[in-house]
Amino acid sequence: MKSVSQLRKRTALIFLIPVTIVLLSSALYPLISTLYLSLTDAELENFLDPNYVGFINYLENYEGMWYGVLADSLFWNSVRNTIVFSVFSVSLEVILGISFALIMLIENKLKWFVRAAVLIPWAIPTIVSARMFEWMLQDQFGIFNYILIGMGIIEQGKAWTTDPQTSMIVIIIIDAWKTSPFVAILVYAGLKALPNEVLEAGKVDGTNGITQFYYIIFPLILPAIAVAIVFRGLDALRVFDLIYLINAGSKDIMSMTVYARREMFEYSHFGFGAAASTMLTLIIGVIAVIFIQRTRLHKLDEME
Amino acid sequence: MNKVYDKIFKYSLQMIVIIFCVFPFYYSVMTSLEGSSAVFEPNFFPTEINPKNYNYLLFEHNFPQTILNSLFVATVTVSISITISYFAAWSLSRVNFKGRSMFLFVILAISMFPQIAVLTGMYQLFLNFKDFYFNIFDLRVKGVTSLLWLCFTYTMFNIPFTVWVLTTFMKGVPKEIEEAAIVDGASSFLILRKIFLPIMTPAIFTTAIMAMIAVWNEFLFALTFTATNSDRTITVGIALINGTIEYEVPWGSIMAASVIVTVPLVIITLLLQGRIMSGLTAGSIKG
Repeated sequence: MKSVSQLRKRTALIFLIPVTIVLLSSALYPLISTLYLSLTDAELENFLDPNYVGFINYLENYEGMWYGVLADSLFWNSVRNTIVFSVFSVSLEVILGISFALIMLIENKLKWFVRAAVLIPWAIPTIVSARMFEWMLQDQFGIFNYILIGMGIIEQGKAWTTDPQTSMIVIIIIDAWKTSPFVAILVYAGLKALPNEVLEAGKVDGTNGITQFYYIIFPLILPAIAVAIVFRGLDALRVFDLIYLINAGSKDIMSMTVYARREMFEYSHFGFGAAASTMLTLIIGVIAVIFIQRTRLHKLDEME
Repeated sequence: MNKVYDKIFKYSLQMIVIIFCVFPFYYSVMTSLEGSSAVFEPNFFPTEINPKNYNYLLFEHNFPQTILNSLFVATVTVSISITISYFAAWSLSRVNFKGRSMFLFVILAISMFPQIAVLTGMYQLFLNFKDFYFNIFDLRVKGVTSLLWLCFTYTMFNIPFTVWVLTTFMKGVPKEIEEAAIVDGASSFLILRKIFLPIMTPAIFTTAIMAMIAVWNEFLFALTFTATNSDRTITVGIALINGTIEYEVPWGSIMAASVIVTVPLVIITLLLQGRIMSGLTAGSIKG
């Protein structure tokens, strides 16, 4: 009977060939060529046939001055922006996500509507959510300023999205609006997987529900929260659309991806842009390894 | 009395969540239905119903073309990635072989990859592809180049996700179902077609919808690889509906375009609510 299991193994490997080819040709190859381009002087004119120049795109000392990605204060600024964005948006999403998940557990006539409503922001394209919020926050005709003026909080409409002081906050809020549902769904699934008695215990002792949640339920759904943080965190670190769309011209709130893309496609500095994106990959890679180690995500397959 | 308060408290919590999630969408639908003057008066309920914005987009603008482009790219990408992933998922979930966990780990790592990491290399490949393509085909079909290229890049970014989710779903199929067929001497190919396909159809469908939404919403590659009015996809199309001066931004049309591309997604999502929730969970936790 050795033939059956061996035949299955062989078939399994054959079935994996297409995936392997796609991943090698379209992930590994461009990754390596990006790495190589970061060591060249590629610009628009010589993009297909650039010269090797070593590490000068990263760092170079020329006549006493430092040049390169690592010496560019705008780059470090974009690193800071990306980290600020990621930390605040993911924290906000986890808090909102857990609250939504708990509210999704409430059994009554609105249950279906809550679950349906939560999926709507998830399904809406980022570009659309960006435009919707820009419109609601618009200084002259936006509903948000209209409400604030009506409540007497401000006297004049404020340009929330274009003011550098508030645009990062706006971006974090839009991101939280769009992705808290994802966290909520993961946490909700985690809550649903708990034995009924645990949830019931919390309900009976309704008076100190928060304590109950903190000491009994929270530790149990921690794995689900950890997974959500890893996925959201890595997603947030590569943020592009929202930051590019809101306040497009501003250098103040650029993320790392926006910075790298700007170098490539607005200034045609392909070598320099490749160096910037390689730095970004390294930074994300290091953070990813730390995340995955700490949350033991790499042991998932063994946990079966 | 306490019970009544408790009920009211719960209903209000739920209402807060519903309003928070739905209001921006509701508000854009409302704006899109208003004529030019009504748009610029903030209000919570529509004061008039005016199809002007929709007429403009659908009959005087190239927006229908961008919708067709997105549909084309999404259909091609999703069909290819699902087919490839379906077979791979069987290998990764039903067969024990050396290096299986390693393979899954690499897939997971690639799915977390920043797109920008490959963008320069991709762009160089794209220029080569364009040259190659122009040499073979004549001018009339040139407009399709970018779209075909988008299909290729999206397939690559979708495959880790579709493989991961389908593998998780397939792990859930009881072993006994397959064992009977193995004993009968059925080939793996036959087993995948006759036994797994019927069981897996809902899961495949869910995965396909989620992959399709991802393609529909993609912006970075679409912005980089499309250059003309005829090959834009919807995200870039919406980003480029713009007036020249700040207060000339055509908010009515932008909102109408947003509603057109969003309503199908919202309807699909609502209809498949339960499935999408299990799909999202399967994509993240191993299930």
